[in-house]
Amino acid sequence: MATEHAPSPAKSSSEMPATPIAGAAPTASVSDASRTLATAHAHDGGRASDAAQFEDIRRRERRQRWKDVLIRTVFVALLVGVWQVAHAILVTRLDLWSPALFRSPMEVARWMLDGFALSYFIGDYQPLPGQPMPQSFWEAFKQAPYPPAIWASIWRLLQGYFVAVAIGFPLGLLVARFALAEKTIGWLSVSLQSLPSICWVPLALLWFGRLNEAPILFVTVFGALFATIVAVADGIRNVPPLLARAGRTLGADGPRLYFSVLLPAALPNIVTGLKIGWSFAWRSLMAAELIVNSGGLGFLLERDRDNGDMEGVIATIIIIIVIGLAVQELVFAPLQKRLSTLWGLTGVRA
Amino acid sequence: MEIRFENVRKTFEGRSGPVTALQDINLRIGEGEFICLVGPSGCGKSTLCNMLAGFETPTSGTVSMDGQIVRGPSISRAMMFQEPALFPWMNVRQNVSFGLKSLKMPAAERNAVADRFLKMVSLAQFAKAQPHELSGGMKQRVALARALAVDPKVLLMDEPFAALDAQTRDHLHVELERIWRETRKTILFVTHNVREAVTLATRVIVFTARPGRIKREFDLEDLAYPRRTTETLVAETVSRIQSTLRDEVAQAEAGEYDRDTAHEHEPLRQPHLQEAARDGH
Repeated sequence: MATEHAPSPAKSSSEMPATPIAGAAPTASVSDASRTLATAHAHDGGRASDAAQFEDIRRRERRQRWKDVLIRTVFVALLVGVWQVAHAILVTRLDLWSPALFRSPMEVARWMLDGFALSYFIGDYQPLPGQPMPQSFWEAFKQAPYPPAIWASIWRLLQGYFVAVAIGFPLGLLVARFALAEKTIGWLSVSLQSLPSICWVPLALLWFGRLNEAPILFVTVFGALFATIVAVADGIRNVPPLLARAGRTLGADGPRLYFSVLLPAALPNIVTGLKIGWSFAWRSLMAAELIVNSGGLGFLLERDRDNGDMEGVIATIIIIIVIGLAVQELVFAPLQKRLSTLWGLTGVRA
Repeated sequence: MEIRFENVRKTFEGRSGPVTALQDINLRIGEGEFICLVGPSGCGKSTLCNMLAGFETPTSGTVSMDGQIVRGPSISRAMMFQEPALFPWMNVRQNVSFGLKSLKMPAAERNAVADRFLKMVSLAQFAKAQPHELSGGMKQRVALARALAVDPKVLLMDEPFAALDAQTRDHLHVELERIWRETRKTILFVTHNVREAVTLATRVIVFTARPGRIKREFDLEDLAYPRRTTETLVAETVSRIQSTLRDEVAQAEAGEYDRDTAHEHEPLRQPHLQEAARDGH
């Protein structure tokens, strides 16, 4: 996922027919070059039918999206089914595997419901050891382990990612702009990018100790920083040279060329870079939380391992995956789609 | 206004040693001329255009405009490319006024000028459209308006219509010719299409195959506009230039085949290739 790249802006060549896109003003969209001049002069006549056509395309796109969701749901259901069957055969029937080490989907689901206090609604809610029976769902929710852990992890991620981007973005710009920065910071970033971020943990622990947020933030920042620098610099370097030439022949040079041509032209690539940075931050954070005992999802994972709660380990892994997926689908995917539409990078549909 | 190429040579670093793209180029271009450079592929005609634009420097010799040696890109030598190279994050009007910003023109004036040039290419109603909403031909007209808007001393066009379909290209020829007559802009136009060159140019310059030299110049000043390829005089000129070019195209094609298999292909004996050569492709 992390190495996926947005389609290069070089593809926006004139050979590509202008693709009608959802949300675009229908007046100007003409997909057939040979029709253009006629349409440009007398295109009012076709406006209504054009609009209907675009509405049709949008409707088809929506239907396709729902189909995709359905396909994925069925796929996940199938996987869970395989899991259930495997559990029934290997654990229940053949007794080849200890039930403590291979939990069924139902057991994991139950753990998750408990973890969010959702089992309060099915009536057999058990308060945590040493806690009184809660009088309302809200009270139960406040005792549940997952919400504060998720919040702690996301809050750390936001802080670490913010710092990494705040430092990495300008450094990436420098690296793309100046040969000297490229030879020094750029080279160092590429080298350090390949260092697994978990390697920063011992250093962070010695420096900051176990009992505060600092080592976790340190690891998160360092895990994401170099990837961000490299991705931003690459994003700018991969701007089609023709756009830079167009800017220069129209009198833009120096900072103006950089900020009004190269930077906006690189924006889709840069967003891809930020996405890579985010996924590095998320991984680093989990690694750090596993080792530094101070809350968060990584900590829960480690605690459940300690207690031998296999269903907890699986449940937490699933939650970590779902959060990653949610950020991808709710933040980066719409942003990338918007940019690639505006930048005219959406591919030709067959 | 005078542009001079003096003893220009351009050598590129090839994988098997240096490759000379251009040699012994001496050329003067005067105010208001519409020069077309034609030649077989790889003859360096685009390189010549790039050198005047300031994107490339000659290996030896000089390129100068009004006595000043060209050392880099300048807004007074605005260039149009084979691809429109519009800025996708700007709408059409912003694209056209981009260069005007370099000229420090105030915003209101910029918009007025941009709109005037959009009108010139008959795209005024698309001022607020995004480039991706336009067809290839429309994009190229925006690119033309963008280059003309900054009022360059010379407009450089590197095969600007090569990627367009034939009908769109014909329309654009008519439009470009009209605009050239309205503005009397000096234009350096690179093409491999002889008909295109004859339709537009006041002077056609034919290049040899690599290393590119100027083989012959054709002065078309006396050929009346608008020129239709169906007119006898125009058709004759086209065939005269094409026959000048034919040997060079053959040589260039031979050079693009493996040496030891060249005799098997015999490029020009094949009727479809002959056809292509006649079309100036």
